[in-house]
Amino acid sequence: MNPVLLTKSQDNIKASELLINNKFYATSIHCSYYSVYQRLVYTLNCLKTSMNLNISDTHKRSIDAITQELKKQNRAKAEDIEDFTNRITALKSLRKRADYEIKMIIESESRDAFKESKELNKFLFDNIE
Amino acid sequence: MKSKDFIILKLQEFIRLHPLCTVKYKHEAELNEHLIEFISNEKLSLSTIMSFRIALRDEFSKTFYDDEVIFVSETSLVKVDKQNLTYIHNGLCGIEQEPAPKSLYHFDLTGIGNEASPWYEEVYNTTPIAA
Repeated sequence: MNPVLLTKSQDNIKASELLINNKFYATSIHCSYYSVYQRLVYTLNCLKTSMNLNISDTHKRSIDAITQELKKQNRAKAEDIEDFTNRITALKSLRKRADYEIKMIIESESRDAFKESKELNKFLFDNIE
Repeated sequence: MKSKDFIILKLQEFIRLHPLCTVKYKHEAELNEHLIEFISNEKLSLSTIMSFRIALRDEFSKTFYDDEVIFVSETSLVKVDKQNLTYIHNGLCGIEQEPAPKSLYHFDLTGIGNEASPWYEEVYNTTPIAA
């Protein structure tokens, strides 16, 4: 499988850390989220899932697809899959708020999102790849 | 039925079984998000809440695909804004005994909208959900 998306995912988590260290907190959240999203799509591509990634609301459909794959593979417990789905949905929500809302993002929020991104990426690696 | 009404009905059903649990719910309409926070005493096991979460997310997504549910805790990335809550139930955590635990929840939506037989009076059988 072409690893371009995996490389982009890894680049985004590195970029997130650089942005935090340079006090671009809102922008770092964008990178933290996309690191997980790109890894998720890379994983779906590896699994050759039949979903069409060019349709609208791709992110929700991708998250649903990975949730179904996690259930199908039966390597993670049901509560861990629910926790993963909830956490990536929360990270996605924070990304929307960071990008579009008139709200300042503080350092602790960006560091929490960075940590969450690394843990969600690890969950995908441990349980489905 | 609107998505927020669906959520409130499910929360009320949960509260009927677990009245000591405090529940806060905020519908963020502009983001199509439903933020739910449970604050429970130690006797309300995490597995009870987790079973409810799994069942609620499953049923909700079938009916309201464009909306998203996020369960919030102290460590979550997003928080429930304490102002203008859509729904709140103030439980008395830590005082009484937790009701007998249910295993996994299965929602039966039969009867929604039928006032003579409200759906939430009839459900909560403990049909396990396949892992």
